[in-house]
Amino acid sequence: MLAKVKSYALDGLTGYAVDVEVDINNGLPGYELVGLASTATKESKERVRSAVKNSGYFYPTKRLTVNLAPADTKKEGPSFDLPIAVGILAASAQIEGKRYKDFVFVGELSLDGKLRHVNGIMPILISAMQNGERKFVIAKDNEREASFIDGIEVYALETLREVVDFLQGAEAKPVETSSYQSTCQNHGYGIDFADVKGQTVAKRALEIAVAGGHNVLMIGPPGAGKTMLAKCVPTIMPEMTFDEAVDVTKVHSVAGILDSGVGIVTTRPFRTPHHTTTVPALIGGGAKSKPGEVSLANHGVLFLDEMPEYSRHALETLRQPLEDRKVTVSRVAQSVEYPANFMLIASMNPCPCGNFGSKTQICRCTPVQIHNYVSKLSGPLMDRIDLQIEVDNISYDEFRSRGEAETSAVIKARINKVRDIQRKRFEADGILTNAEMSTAQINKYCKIDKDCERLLAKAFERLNLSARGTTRILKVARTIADMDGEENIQAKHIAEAIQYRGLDRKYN
Amino acid sequence: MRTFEDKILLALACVQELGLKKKTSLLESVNDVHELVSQGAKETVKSVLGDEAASEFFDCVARIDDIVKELEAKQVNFVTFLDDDYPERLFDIYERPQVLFFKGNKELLHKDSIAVVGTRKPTRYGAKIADEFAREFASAGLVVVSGFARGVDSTAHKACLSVDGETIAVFACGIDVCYPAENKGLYDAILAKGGLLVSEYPLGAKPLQYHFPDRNRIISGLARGVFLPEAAKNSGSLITMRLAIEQGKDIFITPGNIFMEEAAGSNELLKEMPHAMVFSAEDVLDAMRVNREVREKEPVELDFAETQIVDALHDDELHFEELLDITGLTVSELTNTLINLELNGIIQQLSGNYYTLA
Repeated sequence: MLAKVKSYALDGLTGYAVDVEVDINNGLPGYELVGLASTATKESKERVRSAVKNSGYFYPTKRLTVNLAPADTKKEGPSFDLPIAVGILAASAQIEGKRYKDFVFVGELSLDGKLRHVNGIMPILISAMQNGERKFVIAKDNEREASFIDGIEVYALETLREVVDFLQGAEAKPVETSSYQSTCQNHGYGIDFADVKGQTVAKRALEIAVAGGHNVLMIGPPGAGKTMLAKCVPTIMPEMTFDEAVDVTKVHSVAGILDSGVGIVTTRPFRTPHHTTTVPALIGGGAKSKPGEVSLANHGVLFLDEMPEYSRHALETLRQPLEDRKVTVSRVAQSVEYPANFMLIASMNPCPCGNFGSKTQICRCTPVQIHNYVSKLSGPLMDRIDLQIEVDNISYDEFRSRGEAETSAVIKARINKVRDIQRKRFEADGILTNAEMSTAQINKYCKIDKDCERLLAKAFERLNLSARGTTRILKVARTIADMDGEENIQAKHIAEAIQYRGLDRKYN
Repeated sequence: MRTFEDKILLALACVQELGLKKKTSLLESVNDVHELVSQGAKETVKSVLGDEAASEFFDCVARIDDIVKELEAKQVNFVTFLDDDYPERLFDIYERPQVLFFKGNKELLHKDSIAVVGTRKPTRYGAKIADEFAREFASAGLVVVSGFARGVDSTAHKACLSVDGETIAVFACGIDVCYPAENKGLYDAILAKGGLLVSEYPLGAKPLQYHFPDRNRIISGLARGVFLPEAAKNSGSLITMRLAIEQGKDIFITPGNIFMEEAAGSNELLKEMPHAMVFSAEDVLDAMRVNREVREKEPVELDFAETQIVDALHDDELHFEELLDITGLTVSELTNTLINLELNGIIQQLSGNYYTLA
């Protein structure tokens, strides 16, 4: 007998329908799985057999042929366990009725017949919904993740037995929709800008950076608090909208790092890949074309601690996602596109030993070492980083405390206003922030008067700035002017923007 | 027109990797320079220089006209100690260079000058002294002589050029070799701004280790006084100071932090000769009896906050946070004020968000 069960598979973040066809013939007992199944998928054979038996059903001792159609796409992962089991039970007439044909099945089985969590449920359900599917059977572990999708009927069940009973008419309650707002309230960042003492310059620069969507490089000796500052950045970024949260959750779900107890990502991601990271881990790829750190940091922060320690190759590959805000991972078998709209925060020591230019410590590095260290950061990459700030490890006990530091909420409120100004200005341009301005847009929106030009010229001469930095100074000045609520960029805005060219000034 | 003797000396100077001692003893072995190329002297030359160097010497003598042409093509000039042009101060030193190659403004060789020597890795304090003093020396009309090395040397050259002063860089390699390579900009700037490059080594000579102490005797030799801002123990600058003392030059040293290794050498020397201690460029100029015009600084109008900042910085370098406390400005206002002060050359930003008076 033949049974056909609907299932879904993922190609990057898009799901596509897979028909699981099970045919039972007379002949020597055997099991054949066709349809370009990967190892994990092929191994379903053993899991399905044990699960069927241990759920109290009979595993047919006949010749079984299972086809995963379309047969020409590579099938990954164990998510076909459930549809195959259902197919076998239906084909061997152990499930009565045709109700199983109404549902899409996605789930892994354990040997005792329990349904297990699979990665990527959210993108699968969203794609299936867009393709017109309305009814799903998934594992109980995936319930929270599925509950944020409105307009579908999802049954999250615990065992194969429950699934069979349900298909034969037993009562089951579909998953209730959860509210994103209330989930957000229960899951915060657990860190606040008010916890960072001192560092007023760095804080101001980070506020500017977030307000204008600029990337930041922090230069400072070890222990100066660069990581702490960077960690606080997501707390002052505008609240994630539900759509953004879904975008982030999709990627995290596919990567298998989603907290299934929460089911959705409520806080902006903060990703810190170690400097030994490989290019595929950073950008995405590998045999399964998995999303990389740049995509996991989508709508959040990608923090590269000790930036010059990363391999040059890895740093250079960052250029394209920084520009396009997405990455295309191309392999022979497939080409997958992932979002990569992140804010880059990088940090570096002033030199390999960390003491270059220090007031009290002696730097032991040779000029050549320092040169090599700094030159790891290529011009094209640095062109995409608008602010370079110095962070120092001074002990703040020495200073009188000036009352309470501002909380993230206060800063965030200011940033929201500045973002609104930008949104209005760029309505016709299709961009959201000052950092995204093209040369033409800079000419249009960053007009400066004679005073500003004089100041810039003076700065170039006296501070040895490179002309290459002009556009970045203008972009940052635009953001500072927006923060002041000014229509036009004034000399004081330019002056402050010049202050954030630390790298240029330190190493020329 | 070059004399025959000049050319022989040039040929001898063009022998690569030939030590100072051998050259000197070769010249001492003959009564007159032109005897060196006579038939009878061949054996002497060989025994003093060794076979290899001797044959290179004779080779250089044979193609001496080509060598002169090459020098001309590269705009490199030379004087020998037989020339009237040879710098007087250098003539008097022990083991004076027989030939001196130079490129640039040769007038500087005869002008009143002071050498600034020091470590290749100065502390912030040492670099500041080198910069400030070199500026003052140059402004007072002294030629600043230094060794083109990293650190204090480069700082002194640059400071001198920044006030359009005159500077001499003494190389430990061929004059067409820019060592250290990152000083290429400085190399060009010295030539462009009427400075002078000097070396006793032939074109293309590498900066070998033993060249440096030898080079130091020319630095101190060319100058009337030698100034040392800071030196660690075993520093090469201490060799220069010893040579300077032997040559009878005026020496000047600024005291350094007693806790800093980087100043241990110069401090020790100060203990031996406390009269060398100076606290300002004026001290040096007075001791050298250099007449100078007292220049009035252009008055700059400061507003209230700027005055507060400048007053505060009079005592010590201060951190951004401290200035924030003192002035009570917001971060963006203070940032603005500071950059304006800096652009007007009144203050200077240091690493780690520290500020100091320029």
